Amino acid sequence: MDDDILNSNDEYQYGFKDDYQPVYSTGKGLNESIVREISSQKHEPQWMLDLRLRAFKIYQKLPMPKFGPDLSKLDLDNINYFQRATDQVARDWSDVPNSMKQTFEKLGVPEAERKYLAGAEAQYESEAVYANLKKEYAKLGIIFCDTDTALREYPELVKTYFGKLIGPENNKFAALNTAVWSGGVFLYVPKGVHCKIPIQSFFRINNGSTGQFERTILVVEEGASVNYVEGCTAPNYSEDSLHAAIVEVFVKRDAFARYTTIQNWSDNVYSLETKRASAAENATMEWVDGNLGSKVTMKYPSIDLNGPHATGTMLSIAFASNHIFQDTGCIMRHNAPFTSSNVISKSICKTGGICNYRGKIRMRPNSQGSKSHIECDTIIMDDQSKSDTIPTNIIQNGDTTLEHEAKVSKISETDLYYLMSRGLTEAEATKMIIMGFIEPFSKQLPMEYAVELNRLIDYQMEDSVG
Amino acid sequence: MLKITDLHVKIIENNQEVIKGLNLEIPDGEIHVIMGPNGTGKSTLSQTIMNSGKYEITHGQINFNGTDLAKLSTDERARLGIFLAMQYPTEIPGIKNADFIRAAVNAMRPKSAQPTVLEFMQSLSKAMDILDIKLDYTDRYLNEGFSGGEKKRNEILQMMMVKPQLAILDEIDSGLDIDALKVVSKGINTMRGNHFSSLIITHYDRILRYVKPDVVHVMMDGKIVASGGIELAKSLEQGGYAQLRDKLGLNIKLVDE
Amino acid sequence: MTELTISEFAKSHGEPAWLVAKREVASDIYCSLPLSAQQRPYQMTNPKLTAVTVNNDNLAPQHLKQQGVIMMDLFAAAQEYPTLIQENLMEKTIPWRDNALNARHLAYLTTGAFIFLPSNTICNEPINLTNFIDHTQLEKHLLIIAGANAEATFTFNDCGTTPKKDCLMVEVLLGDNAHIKYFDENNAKSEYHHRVLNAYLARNATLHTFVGLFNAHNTLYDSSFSLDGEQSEGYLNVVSLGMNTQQQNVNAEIINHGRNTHGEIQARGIVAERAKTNFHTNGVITKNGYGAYSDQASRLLTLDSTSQGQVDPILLIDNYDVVAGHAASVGKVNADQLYYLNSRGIPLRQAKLLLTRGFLLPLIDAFPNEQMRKQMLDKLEGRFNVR
Repeated sequence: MDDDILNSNDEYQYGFKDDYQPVYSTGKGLNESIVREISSQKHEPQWMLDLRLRAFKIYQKLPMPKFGPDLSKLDLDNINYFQRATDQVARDWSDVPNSMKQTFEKLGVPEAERKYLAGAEAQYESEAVYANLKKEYAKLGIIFCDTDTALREYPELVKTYFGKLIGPENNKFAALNTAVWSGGVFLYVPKGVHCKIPIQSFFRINNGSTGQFERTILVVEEGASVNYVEGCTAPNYSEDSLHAAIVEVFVKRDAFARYTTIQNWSDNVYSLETKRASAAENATMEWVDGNLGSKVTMKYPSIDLNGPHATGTMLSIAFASNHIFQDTGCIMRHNAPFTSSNVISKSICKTGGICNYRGKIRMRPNSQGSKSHIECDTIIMDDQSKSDTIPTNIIQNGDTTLEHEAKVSKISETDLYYLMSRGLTEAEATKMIIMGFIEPFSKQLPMEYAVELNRLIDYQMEDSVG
Repeated sequence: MLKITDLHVKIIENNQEVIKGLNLEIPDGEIHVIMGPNGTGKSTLSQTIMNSGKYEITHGQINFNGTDLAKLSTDERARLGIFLAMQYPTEIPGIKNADFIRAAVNAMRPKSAQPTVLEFMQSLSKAMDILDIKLDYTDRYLNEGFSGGEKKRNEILQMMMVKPQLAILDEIDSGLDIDALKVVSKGINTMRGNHFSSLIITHYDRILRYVKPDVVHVMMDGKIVASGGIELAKSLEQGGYAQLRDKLGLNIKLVDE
Repeated sequence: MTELTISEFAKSHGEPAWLVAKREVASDIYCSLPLSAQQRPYQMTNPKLTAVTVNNDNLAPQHLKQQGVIMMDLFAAAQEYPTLIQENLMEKTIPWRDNALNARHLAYLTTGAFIFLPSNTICNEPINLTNFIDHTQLEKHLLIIAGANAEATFTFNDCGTTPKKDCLMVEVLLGDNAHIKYFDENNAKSEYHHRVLNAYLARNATLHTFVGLFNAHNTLYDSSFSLDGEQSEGYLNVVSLGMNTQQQNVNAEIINHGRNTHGEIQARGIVAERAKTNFHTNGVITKNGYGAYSDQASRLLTLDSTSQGQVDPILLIDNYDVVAGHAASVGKVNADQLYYLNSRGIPLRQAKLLLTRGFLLPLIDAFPNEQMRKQMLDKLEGRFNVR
């Protein structure tokens, strides 16, 4: 697995429903004329059409990934590759499965939010909040819009960055995304601008485009900083069986970027996502990545540490319950001297869940003085669940330091005993231990996300211990 | 002898100046003591003399027997006859104590003057006797799994074996119970002579009951602020650093205040 | 000497028909069996067989012979103890069909020894196996079977003298409550040396292996323990020295099949001068491995910036009631330790040598034989070429 693989994104998808016939639909399956049609419907420039067509050819040639979860049940010919609704018609609430409604109920997700999460409500939060933020961003020169809009309004800027980190050659699903992408976020932070409050993706959602093959680009210019958060912790209900997004993050000299994702698709979704960032001299890039849902996740965000003293961090949790398969990890490429990377991965699996960590650290020949620290911890909660830890650490310069540690175990009986001796029930004690286990992750989340995560873990734990 | 002139030192990691114009002279045969509150730069001084790589001299000079130390590496300084008993001696699994001390002893001498294995073992066991160190010590790995007191004794044992001209003892007394303190002091006292000088860095005057110093210095905020005889240490023990600071009219914030 | 076919070769020293047949099949199919990129350079071509002389005696020392210990030429043993050899030779621990190298090894095996300890045999003195095989041969084999409650320590000092490629495969089978230690110093002279040590452990058995890869050329070392019986314990230790552009690949694996089994892998390597060392370690706990313990520690000490390496400590865990972990590190000598030695007047080069020795010593010190320990440390010092 040299390069990253896929998985989708948590943006919500709302422009269609079961029995609703979108105005433009490319039909099921994929061929060259569909790719052309997608491009022409959006009045794209020639270079984008050329790129899509090239990607489509590569997609046809590339094999399915040869490692990790079984993807043979994923029927790529039975997928709608492009649809665009003319209006904001939402999925009917009554179409949302009862199990999902119960989940929302149990989690105490507010009514308005439930409909939004289920795709039965196109808008979330108020338009007014977004308008204010928009004004604020504009004042700072920040561009924040969906990628289709960006391609129309800032074609040169998009052309400079689009596909520069993740080409269609990267893997089959990156090629697929490049051929048929739609939507996603374009965020540009000009030189020296510090965006103090986290920018959150769901304020963006007000026009419909499919979230299945999203294309997200973040550009953080010299000395600028941004904290971008996408997704939400309550489960997102989706009828799409495949989500394959691409995220590219460019962190320029002395700049800082943090990209936080909570992936919590409903359990029918293959989430195969490709994410890659580059960090220039003295820049810092951080991926904060939580994977809680989907049927199968394959996602290995990567960072190219291209300039001296660049720093990369990957902080992730994976929670696999009820036969979910989380195959996640990260890639750090130390391409310059004195770069450093830090990887912390926490996995929990239970009730038949599988959590795999798959990671690669590469110290290139000119990476002298670079450092890497990797920590992978896993808790397996019962005998139906399993976990593999598969790291690759390649050292091409001996003047570097790398430390890798991993631990796999069940919940410590000593810890459990200690907490229960203070009067906690087994369920309470177990949950407390799990929360403590993922604390390095949750403490990095914005408050409202941390609260939701807590609620979600609560819920996930309840059906196992209670 | 050691001569330090207008020394300024910063910590490389955070660029913070810790020693701010320090002057000190230790003639041959004398034992000097530096006392001072926490965070005042005492350990920085000892590590700078030995060139630990964590500090940088931004101004001033350290001279030893007329040689400017600036360009010398750590081992070159050691071979000039400077010894540092460290506050936190490093643990090195895989290297046996005896092998290490022998390598150190040999490093200080030309081949012709190096003791044979037998001579070495004899003098080692004599020194171990004085310091009350258990026999199995020689085969244990360097400082590995040693208690605080064992590590301190090991530093003194190395000093006795290497026979330096100047021994800097950085908080050699911390963490020692009264018996261990006596033993360690005994070791230091065996070294006394016209060609041995020492710089003892400490918080307390406890060790001075057993090792009689020629000069006591007080260090605060990166400088020597007072020097005197043993009575200076005694007055400190009674009045504390804050009182001395106020008496001297210094505007310094003590770390523990 | 005349070149022989497999059957001519086998018949020349009276191999049983089953072995000849098996060798012929192996020879026919080995080219079609899997061969990884890592294994490819170690594949030998154009095998040539010439007759060997076989000693049919039991070469065990008198006092061991009295306890029923067998130490004899593998080919002689194939005639003398056909059932034992047929059931175990390349069947249980190094399956001959697994890959091209294994099959070729069986097809063109020309020297080997069979060591058998009957139940309850206790050998107090280390047994040196070095001279039981012909080191000039290309495909060499040791088959060691220890019966229930047997205890022994083996040493082996490989001094393979072939110039191009050679291979030694060692199989160790431990019965219930058998306790074996195996110390191996590799001094092979070939440009590509392949070495395998696989083991099977029954209930309560323990196996410690220590191998020192001190040879100066490319090496592929594969070792896999199957902890099959309840409460069996395996300790797999590797020390390697990689200098002067040599490539060392170590694949070490412990599989915890049985309940309450305990496996530890420890690998330590020195790399310098454009050498490359790869430690690929696997801890596997299967579905039934309740109460299993699996631990790996891989450490690479890089002496200069041209040193290269790869450490992949892998855990494949299929049970929850386990304690599994790994730690891997790559880096130069510790700066604090170097400073401490320097502060005692020890010059940089010598300090680095001391720290390098210290890095390997805990594993070298475990060797029971003073001469082997000294040889390894001398090799380190002799080849240590760092400023």
